[in-house]
Amino acid sequence: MASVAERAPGARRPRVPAIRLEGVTKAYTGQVEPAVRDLSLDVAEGETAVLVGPSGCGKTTTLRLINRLITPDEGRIVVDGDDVSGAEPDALRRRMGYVIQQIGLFPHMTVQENVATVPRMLGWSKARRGERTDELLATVGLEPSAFRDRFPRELSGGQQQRVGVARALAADPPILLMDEPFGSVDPVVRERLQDELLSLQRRLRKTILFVTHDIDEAVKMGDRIAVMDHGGRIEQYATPAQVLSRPASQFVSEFVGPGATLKALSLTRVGDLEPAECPVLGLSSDPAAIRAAIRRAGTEDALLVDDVGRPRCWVTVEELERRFDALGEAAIAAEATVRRSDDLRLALERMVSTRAGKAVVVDDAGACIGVVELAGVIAAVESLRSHASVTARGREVRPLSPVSD
Amino acid sequence: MASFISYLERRADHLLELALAHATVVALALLVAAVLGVGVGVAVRAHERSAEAALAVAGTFLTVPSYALIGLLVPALGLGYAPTIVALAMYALLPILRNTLAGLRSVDPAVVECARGLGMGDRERLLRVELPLAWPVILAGLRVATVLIVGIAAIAAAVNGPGLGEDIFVGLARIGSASALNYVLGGMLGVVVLAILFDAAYAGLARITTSRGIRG
Repeated sequence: MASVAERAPGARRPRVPAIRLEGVTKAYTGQVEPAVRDLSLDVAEGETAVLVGPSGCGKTTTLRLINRLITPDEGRIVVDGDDVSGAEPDALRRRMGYVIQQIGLFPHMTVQENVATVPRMLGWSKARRGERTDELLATVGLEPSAFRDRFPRELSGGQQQRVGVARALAADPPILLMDEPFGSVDPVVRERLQDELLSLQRRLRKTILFVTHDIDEAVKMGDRIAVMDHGGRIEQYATPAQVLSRPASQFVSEFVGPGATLKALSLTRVGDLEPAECPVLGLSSDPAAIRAAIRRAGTEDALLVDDVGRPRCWVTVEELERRFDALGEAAIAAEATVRRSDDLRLALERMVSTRAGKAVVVDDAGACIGVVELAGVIAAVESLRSHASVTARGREVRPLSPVSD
Repeated sequence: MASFISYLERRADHLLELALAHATVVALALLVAAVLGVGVGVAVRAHERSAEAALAVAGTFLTVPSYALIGLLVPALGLGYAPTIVALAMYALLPILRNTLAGLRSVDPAVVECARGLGMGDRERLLRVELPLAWPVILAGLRVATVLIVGIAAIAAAVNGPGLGEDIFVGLARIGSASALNYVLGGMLGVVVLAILFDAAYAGLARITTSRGIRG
């Protein structure tokens, strides 16, 4: 269960948080209830914190308070140790990338001009801006020569949001504010963009504040999740594993919904599972040898692989006895394969969709490197629960209001 | 018909001169109206009440009969260019102001939000994002205003103003005489041709000045 420990970024938490909100209140004119009331929140440097909650809970307001698109009525906002209440808003905003759901690319500017918006305001030379644009387009997976001179309307929604992310990253700001950035693209593209942002973040180590109403997205993207109720009240601020397995309140457990355990499966990788015992033999092995191997291992069946190690089929002892002359057809095809980097949700999906009830772990070439079973997944869930409860009682619990130090 | 053609040949230089003067007052009036209309539009765009008031004032200008308006300006501004340009600018104001407001309001709020969020100041946002995006609509307003005042400018001859109105008035004063119709038709033809030329110029201007990313 190493992966859970790794995702909780306790190891690299500096003393001064990158973003700190202290008792922040904001009421919009004409509304009785403040959109955000007495909100305190720390986001550690290099961490992705996700604000998740129902619509109207104040999560977007919180984001806009941080880059001063709106001004708090009360409280303090500290960015990198500086109180930003008095800061010049435009200069502050150039230190933070900003990505919104509607993408908001400038339709009359080319991709290159869009991406270079902040560098141009910062007075970078044209050559340097061009270089930076190409570098960023490549980073977000767009071929610079093909996309640099296009206009936003010539791009798909997913491509537009890639440009939106590139634009936010242009001047290499230490902080990224993302307001439902993938909310306007279809689920397939969304998943891909999420994965790309995760791998980007592993390299860039930005401080990201990410707003979503989708708990699955929060679990996937966040190092920490702040579950918000109306008025910006934070019901729980903890790692995804803790939120899923130890919801701090009725509201959190309702918001997480009934599938919390299944959701938690996405936090663990196949590589972290205890491999199952299973004899693996060549396809042309002698039936007697297969029988012997099964008996020796004490399993019900054996996995047969082809000459380069790719899984072909499962065979049981009975099948061997019945039709040992036509092994390939008698057996269950070993179609359910996973990689070490896949999460358990996918592994479970693959296991239950085949009669064998287990999945073969393969390497990049498709060769078998092990077998995982349902029992292994169940053990992992148990371990996840106990791990989260231990840490929930221990150092991982942090007060919602900041400690004065 | 033959007499009209020979009339045009004889008066070509004179008509060209009048047309040039006509185009000049129209262009000057447009310049004034554009500066005012776009300027006021930008200033009041965020205040619903002020915007309504500005539109009402500009609308009122347009309802005053042109002959009366130009005449009313004479005591204050004298004869010739000044009252003509002021009156034409007043007429051109409404389409320009209205389209400036409509154009600025049609800019996607998400785009403006992003511009702010990226740290673009008010001035820069206006010049680099809002006005360029509103531009096609503003240009359409200028085009309507131009067609409108090219015609009205003929009335300026009543106060000794320059332009093709001169011939039209001369002709109308001599109704019944042999050449009267030629005078009127010559002036009218000049106005129509000018309007078409202005319109063609706008079509070219729209192509050149509108980003390919927002061209329809």
